[in-house]
Amino acid sequence: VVLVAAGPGVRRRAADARRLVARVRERGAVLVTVGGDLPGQPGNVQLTVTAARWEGLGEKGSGYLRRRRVSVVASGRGEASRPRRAELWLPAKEGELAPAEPLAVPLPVPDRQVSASPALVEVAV
Amino acid sequence: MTGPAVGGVRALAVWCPDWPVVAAGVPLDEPAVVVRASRIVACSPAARHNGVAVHQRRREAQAKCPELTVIDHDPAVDARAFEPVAAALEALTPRIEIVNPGCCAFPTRGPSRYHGGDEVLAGMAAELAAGVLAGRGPAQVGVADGPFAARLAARSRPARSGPSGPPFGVDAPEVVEPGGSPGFLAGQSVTTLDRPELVGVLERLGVRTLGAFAALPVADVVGRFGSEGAVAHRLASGLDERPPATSPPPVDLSVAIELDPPAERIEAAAFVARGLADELQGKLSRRGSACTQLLIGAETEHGERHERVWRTEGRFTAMSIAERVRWQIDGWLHSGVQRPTGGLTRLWLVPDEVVPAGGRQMVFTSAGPGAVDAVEAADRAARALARVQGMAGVEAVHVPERRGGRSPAEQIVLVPAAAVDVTEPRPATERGWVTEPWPGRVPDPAPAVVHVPPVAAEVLDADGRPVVVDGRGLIASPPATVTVGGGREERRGRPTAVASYAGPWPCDERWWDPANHRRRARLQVLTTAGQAYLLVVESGSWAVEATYD
Repeated sequence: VVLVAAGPGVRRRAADARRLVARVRERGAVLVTVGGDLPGQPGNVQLTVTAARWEGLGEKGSGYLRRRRVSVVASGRGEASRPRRAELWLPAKEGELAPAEPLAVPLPVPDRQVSASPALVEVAV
Repeated sequence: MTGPAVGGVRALAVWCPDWPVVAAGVPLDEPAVVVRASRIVACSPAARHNGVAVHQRRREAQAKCPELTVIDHDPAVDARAFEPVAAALEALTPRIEIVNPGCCAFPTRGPSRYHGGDEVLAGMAAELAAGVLAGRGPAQVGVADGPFAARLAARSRPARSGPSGPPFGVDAPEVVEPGGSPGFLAGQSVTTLDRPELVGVLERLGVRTLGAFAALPVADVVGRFGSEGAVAHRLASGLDERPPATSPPPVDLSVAIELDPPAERIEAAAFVARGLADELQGKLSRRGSACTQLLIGAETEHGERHERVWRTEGRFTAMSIAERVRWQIDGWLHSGVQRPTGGLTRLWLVPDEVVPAGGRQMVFTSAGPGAVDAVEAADRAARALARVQGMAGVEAVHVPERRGGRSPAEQIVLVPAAAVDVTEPRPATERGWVTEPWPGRVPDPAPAVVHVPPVAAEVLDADGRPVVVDGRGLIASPPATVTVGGGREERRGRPTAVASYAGPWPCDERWWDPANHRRRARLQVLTTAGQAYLLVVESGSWAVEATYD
């Protein structure tokens, strides 16, 4: 599967975005944009981190940042129109992505959106 | 393979020891090393005299020899510098095979008869090579049955030049009598096979010389080591790497392209060569073949022609063919007297030796829909890279590699995509590539954003005083607030409270080198807003080195 990733630093113009999305559809590729939709091209699925908590730091300078629990909400169009929620380790201990056991008490969702809220947009699988 | 084995084709090899050092223009009586990915790929005799060896880590070499000059490896420079040597040898025979920059070989049957014997021919080759090198480095010549034995014969000349030795003259060539190659090879170490994995096993089995390896029954060697073992066994027995081809490759495998308008710049020619290499590789793979020896030719608008034969130990890929075209044209353009006067109008590739391609390895993914053809996927990735290089320039495209280091920025580096072959497995991208411990490194997982350069910050304790890391690497009072973006008032963020922290981790790097000495300490900080930072302090100033996002 060909994967095209567009970062938040990429210049986003509506014409470029349209061409990119058309090209991705034609080739059966997956487009992932970080930091929001391309202009005029809403993604099929939005992944949003709603809450996050780091683990690993101890008392008085002991430990180190080991892993972060995140709550991710997937929403979007079509099949994804019913929002789904998952608990993940992002990153897990080795820097990879791993599913996490849900907590008995869910992570508190902050008032405003977590600053590290990458909106991942997936188009045309 | 039955019956008495036929010896290899008689060949002459010219070997320039420590070629990357010579190509870099460093006198061999100065200690110098050429380094790729922090490993020594070549060193000067003066460095070797001090205990430096190939495959060592750079720091180990620097510890042994502090005045060492360190040069980054650039295969294109090696190839370009070797071109005049190959061009000079063309006075003897038109068929020079370049094994790799620094080593070339040619079959001697015809030229030897013409010039009056192997000894005379070898002497002439040594004179020619020494004339081109003009004292910059030695050139050693060997003649034996088969290019492998000839290369070893060239290498077996004792390295004459110590750190204070005489200037490099003409060494007497080593000529192994016809039929004498098995005897000559028998005394050589198995490490000369240049197949580290195989050699490691052989040495542990107590098989230390080529003679002992050749004495093993070939069927057992194939049974234990597969086709690679069979090739090595043939080499050790004084045969050619492959049984002689029974039929020459059909002519229709050659590919050529006209360049209109003529290519004036190396980039333009290299881009065309890339497509041509793809075409050749496509033709070969449709026949289930691969190429091991290849003739690359180019012609200018003024009718000047330049042809070279390239040989590889493995099999040429489209990427490695394109790379050799680039080296060759680059060398030709910089060759001085014989440099072309016009743009390139024609390029051609002729496979000189064709063998059955190795089986394609299909990769099965556990969750995927089916088999993914790893070769195909790698080729597609390489083509995509080549296209982007064509659009943005060769230097603009980079791929990441892992390196040893303490800070997150040192652990991943971007290397030019042109310098790596993405169609080959790249261990430098794998987790576990860096095996050295790097005491004091920032532990995994790596932060998501590394700030280059670091963003200034202010770190205060509960009393509002700056947090200080003392000479023992301890902090007197824990951090209470972090303000990102110190300095100018309007660009400064708001102070955020610290929920917890880890560290400090002191780190005293390159203390032996006053110019590059860095003394720093790092701190991981988690704010009450849930944001995690990697902070670094150097000479009392704090900065955000990375953000765990």
